[in-house]
Amino acid sequence: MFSKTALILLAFISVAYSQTDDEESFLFVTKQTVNRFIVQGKELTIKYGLYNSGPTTVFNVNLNDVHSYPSKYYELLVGTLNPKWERINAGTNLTHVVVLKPKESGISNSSHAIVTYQKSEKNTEVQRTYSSEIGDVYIMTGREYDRRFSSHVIDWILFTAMASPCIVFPFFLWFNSKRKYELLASKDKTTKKAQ
Amino acid sequence: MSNQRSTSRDEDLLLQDFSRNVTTKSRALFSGNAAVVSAIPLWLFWRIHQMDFSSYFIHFILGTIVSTYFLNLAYQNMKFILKHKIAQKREEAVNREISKIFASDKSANKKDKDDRVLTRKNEVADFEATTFSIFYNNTFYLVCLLVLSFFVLKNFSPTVNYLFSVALSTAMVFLFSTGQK
Repeated sequence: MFSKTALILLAFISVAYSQTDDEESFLFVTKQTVNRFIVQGKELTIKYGLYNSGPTTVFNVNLNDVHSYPSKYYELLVGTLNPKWERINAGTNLTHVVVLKPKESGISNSSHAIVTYQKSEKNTEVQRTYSSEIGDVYIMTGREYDRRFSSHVIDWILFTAMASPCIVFPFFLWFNSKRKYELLASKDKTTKKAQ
Repeated sequence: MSNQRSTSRDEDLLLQDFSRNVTTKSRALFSGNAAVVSAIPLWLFWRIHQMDFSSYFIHFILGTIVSTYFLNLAYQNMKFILKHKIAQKREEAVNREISKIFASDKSANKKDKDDRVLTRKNEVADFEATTFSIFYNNTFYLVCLLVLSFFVLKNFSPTVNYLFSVALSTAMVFLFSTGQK
């Protein structure tokens, strides 16, 4: 009877202990974009953050995000979409940055990156986890971006140069004539007064 | 005989004075100006709103034709209204000007002098009304267009932006020119 309760108690304790994750670590992976706007033909920066939250080291970490950015639609400029790290120590994190260039415009969905790792050096059992996702993004065309954001100072200056003759020239003609006749009229008024 | 001739000449002058019809030269001037002023903003739409000519040329042509036509009408309306006001204002000054010219010429009679004054007054009023009408309508049109296109309709699609800004600014210029008394 006593041994039975002891056994049950031991079982409870071991379950409770295992649930506090004393010996295992989990990797949390975030994926985000640093850009405010995603423009076709301009650089897009993706930042992956890997956080080892537990008390033990994880080994053979492998991030795979090739499926999110096929080379047909994205050109890879800097970094790799399939990095590997030997280990991530307990309580540390690391970031990985990839720079891409979207080739086409429109709505694009990039899904989760897949991260696989081993919890111990000896145990080759691979744990798989998924990163957060960015979701649907709108890639605007280069033209739209220029339209909204570039400063066009030269364009405005040239427009002013083109439009000013249409305004200044007639004004000048009218003003000259007006001044001439008003002067004539006022001169005669003064001579009349003098008389 | 000469009496009849001078009377019909008086009538002609009066008709010309009160007629809304513009001379060919005036018409050419107005049309040319209207076309130029309607065409200039196209450059702005091309460069800043990134509306390329190949995909938007129908809109551009339509917009330019409509605005040229109504700007032309606006010029004529405003000129007609202004001409009379200016003629009244300039009467005295023109009188003095012609008197100075005729002071040296003793053979001229009063009738010739009056004719001359009337013609000269017409000319001056015509010229000033034309130039002021062109200046004022151009400025009004361009300011309206710029405000509408780059502030009010800034976030709409380029097509909507162009068509509405041209239509509204043309309408405003035209209505304003007909409204004045």
